[in-house]
Amino acid sequence: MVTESRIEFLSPDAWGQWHTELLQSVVNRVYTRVPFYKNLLDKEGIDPSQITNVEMLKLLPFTTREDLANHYPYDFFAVPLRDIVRIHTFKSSQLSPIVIGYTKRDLEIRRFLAIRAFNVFGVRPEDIVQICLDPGMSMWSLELKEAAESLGALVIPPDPLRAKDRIKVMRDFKTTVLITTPSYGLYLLSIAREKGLGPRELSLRVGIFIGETLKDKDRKELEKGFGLRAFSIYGIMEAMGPVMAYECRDSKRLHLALDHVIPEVIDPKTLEPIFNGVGELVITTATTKANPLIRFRTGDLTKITYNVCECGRTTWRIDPIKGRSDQLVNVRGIKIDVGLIRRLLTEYCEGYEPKFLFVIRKKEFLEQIELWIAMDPQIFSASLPELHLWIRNLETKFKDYIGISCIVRPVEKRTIAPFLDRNKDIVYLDNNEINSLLL
Amino acid sequence: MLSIQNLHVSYGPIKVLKGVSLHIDQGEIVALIGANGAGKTTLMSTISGLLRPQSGEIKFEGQDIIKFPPDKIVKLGISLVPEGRQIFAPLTVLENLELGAYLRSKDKKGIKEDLDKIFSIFPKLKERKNQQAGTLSGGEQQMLAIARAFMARPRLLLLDEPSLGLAPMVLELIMDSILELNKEGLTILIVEQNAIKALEISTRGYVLETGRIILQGSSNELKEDPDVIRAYLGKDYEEITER
Ligand SMILES: Nc1ncnc2c1ncn2[C@@H]1O[C@H](COP(=O)(O)OP(=O)(O)OP(=O)(O)O)[C@@H](O)[C@H]1O
Ligand SMILES: [Mg+2]
Repeated sequence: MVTESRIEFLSPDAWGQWHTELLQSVVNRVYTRVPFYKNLLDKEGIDPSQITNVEMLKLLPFTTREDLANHYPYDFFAVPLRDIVRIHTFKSSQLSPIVIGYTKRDLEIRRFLAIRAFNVFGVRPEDIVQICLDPGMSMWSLELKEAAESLGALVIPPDPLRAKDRIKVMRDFKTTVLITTPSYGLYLLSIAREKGLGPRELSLRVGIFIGETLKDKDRKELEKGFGLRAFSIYGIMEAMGPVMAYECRDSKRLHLALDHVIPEVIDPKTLEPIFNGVGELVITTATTKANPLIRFRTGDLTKITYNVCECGRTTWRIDPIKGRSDQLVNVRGIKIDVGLIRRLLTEYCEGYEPKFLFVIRKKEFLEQIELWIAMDPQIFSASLPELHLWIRNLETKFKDYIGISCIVRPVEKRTIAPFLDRNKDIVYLDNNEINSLLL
Repeated sequence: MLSIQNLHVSYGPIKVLKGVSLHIDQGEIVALIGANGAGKTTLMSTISGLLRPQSGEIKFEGQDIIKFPPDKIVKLGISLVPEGRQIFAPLTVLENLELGAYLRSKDKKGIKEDLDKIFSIFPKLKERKNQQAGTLSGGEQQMLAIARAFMARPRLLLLDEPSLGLAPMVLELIMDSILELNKEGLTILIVEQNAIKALEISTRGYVLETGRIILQGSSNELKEDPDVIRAYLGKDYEEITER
C-alpha cells in the first residue's frame, strides 16, 4: 500500500502503472471537459484510448503560454466556475492575460508539495521563516507563506522594508529560515556584512532559494556567509506552483513531483522528445482539476535524470535550470517577455517600433533592467524637457505593463547597433561595460 | 497485486470499457465508483473471466490472466460477489457456505476454521446456519454472498454493489464486516453507486465515467471532490450550473 509519504520511493515499475493511470485520466478529463483540447484532439484524429502509456504522450499536442492567453477567459477550465476557489492572472505577450484557476484541492496539492519539501529541508514548527521576495513574485510569496504557516512555523512575509531593515528584523527576531532569490540573498548578505553580522549574530539554519538558478559559487558564499544550509526549489505558477521540484539532502539535482506531473524534455526546435540531454522541460499535470495542462511548454532548459537518488527517492530529477528556450528573460525571479516590451514600445510610439536594446545590469548583486532606445527623428524631435517627460512616462508605463521598474535611456543608434546586428536584443552587462559603451 | 492496463470490452458493437487502467496493491480496499451504466459490473465480470475483453492486459501477481477461464481465476485467489447476490435459495446457509469452498472440499480442517471465522464476523449467519437461504432477509443474503466468496479463501475479493437495496443499519453492518475481512488480510475491490460509503471504507478510489477513468486518488480526497459528488448524485457534468 502506498501512502503519500512513501510515494516518492515507488519502484520504477510501479511508476509506470501510476503514470499510465494518471495520464489516461487527465486526458479523458480534458477530452470530455475542456473545449480547447477536445477540438485539438478531434482535429488531429486522436482518440484518448490511443494513449496506452506515457510514451504515447508524443501523440498529444503541446500547450503554450500563448494558447492560454488566446483562449481567455474560460476555454481551459475543466470544472464549472463554482468549483474554483482562486483565480490567478498573469501577464502575457498576447492581447489577453493568462488566467489559471484552482479548486480547493488544487491549492491543497500545491501546499502539500511545498510542505513536503520543507520537511526534507528540516523546516519545523519552531522555525521562524522570513520571506524576502520582490512584489513581482507575490503569488510565490503567498503560496510559500501558506505552506509554512500550515506547517506551524512563524512566518514573516515580504514587506516593503529596505534591505537594511530586513536584516535588522532577521537578527532581532532570530529568523531561522530565509526564503529568497539567490541574487537578493547575496545582496542581503552584503548588507549583513557591512553591519558586521555573520553566522554568530544571526540564527539562520536553512536557506530556500527560488526563482533563479543557484550557482555553486553563490551557494557556497550564502552558506558560509549566513551559516545556513542552502536548498533550491523549482516551480512554475501555471502548473503545480512554487515547488514542482526540490533539492533533497543528497543531490544537487531537483526531485520532481512525479506523483503530480508527468515531465518530458523536448528539443525546442524540432519538438522531438529528448531522453538523455538538455532540452525544454514540458509538463503534463496529472492531478490538477481546474486547469489541467497537457504538454505545457515551460520554456526552461534542463535535463532529466531517471535513476534512483542516493536518498532513495525514485522520483526523476532535473538539473538546475540552464536557461530559457523562448523570449522570456528571468530577472530577479520575475519572468519578462521581450515580446511584451516590444508591444509596449510600439504602442507608446503610436505604431512605430523604435530600435532598442534590453540591458540587464548587475549592480550590488541585483539585476537591474534598462531600456536603451535609439533616438531617431521618427519618434522624437522635440525639446530636451519634453524628452525627459517622454522618458519618465515610458518608465511609468513600463512598470505598469511589465510589473518591474526599468531605467529608460535614450542612446545613439551606433551604440546599440553592434548588438542588434548580431540579432541580440537582450544583453547582460556589468557597470564597466556600460560605462565604456555610454562614454 | 492486480494491475490492469488499457482494457477494452464491448458487447457486440457497443463499446463499454474504453481503455481502462487501474491497480490494486496487497492489503488495500480500492473503490470503483461511477454512475449507472458506466461499466463497473462489466469490469468486475472481465476480471473474473466471465467476459472476454477485446484487448488489454490483466495481471494478477505478475501473471497474465486475461485468457483464463473463471474457475482458474477463482483458484488463483480472485473471488467475485456479483451484483444481486445470487445465492442458492433452496439450500441452507451452511450448504451455501460449503459450496463456496467446493474447490478445496478436501481441506476439512481449513474449511472448519474458515467457518468459525465467518461465524464470528457474521453471528447472524451462525444463528441461521440451517435455515434456507431463500428465506433470509436482504441484508442477511448479502452477508451470505460475501461469506460464501470468502470460503474460497480468496486473496482478492471483488464486491459488486454490496449495498444495493439495503437499509442503512444493515449497510453499516455489511461495511463493518468488509473492513473486518480486510483486517484478516483480504484485498478488496469494491464497486459502488453509493460512492460515499465505499470511499469511507476504502484507501483509494477510481471514478469511471462512460467506460473511461476520469479521476483517481486517495479516498479522503475523492470524498470531497465535486466530480465524485456529482457522480454519486448521478448528475451529468453538463447539468451543472455555472457560478
Ligand atoms: N449483456 C449485455 N449486452 C449489451 N449491453 C450490455 C450488456 N451488459 C451490460 N451492457 C451495457 O453496458 C453498459 C455498462 O453496463 P454495466 O452493467 O457494466 O454498468 P454498471 O456501471 O455496473 O451500472 P450499474 O451501476 O447500473 O450497475 C451499459 O450501458 C449496459 O447497458
Ligand atoms: Mg453494475
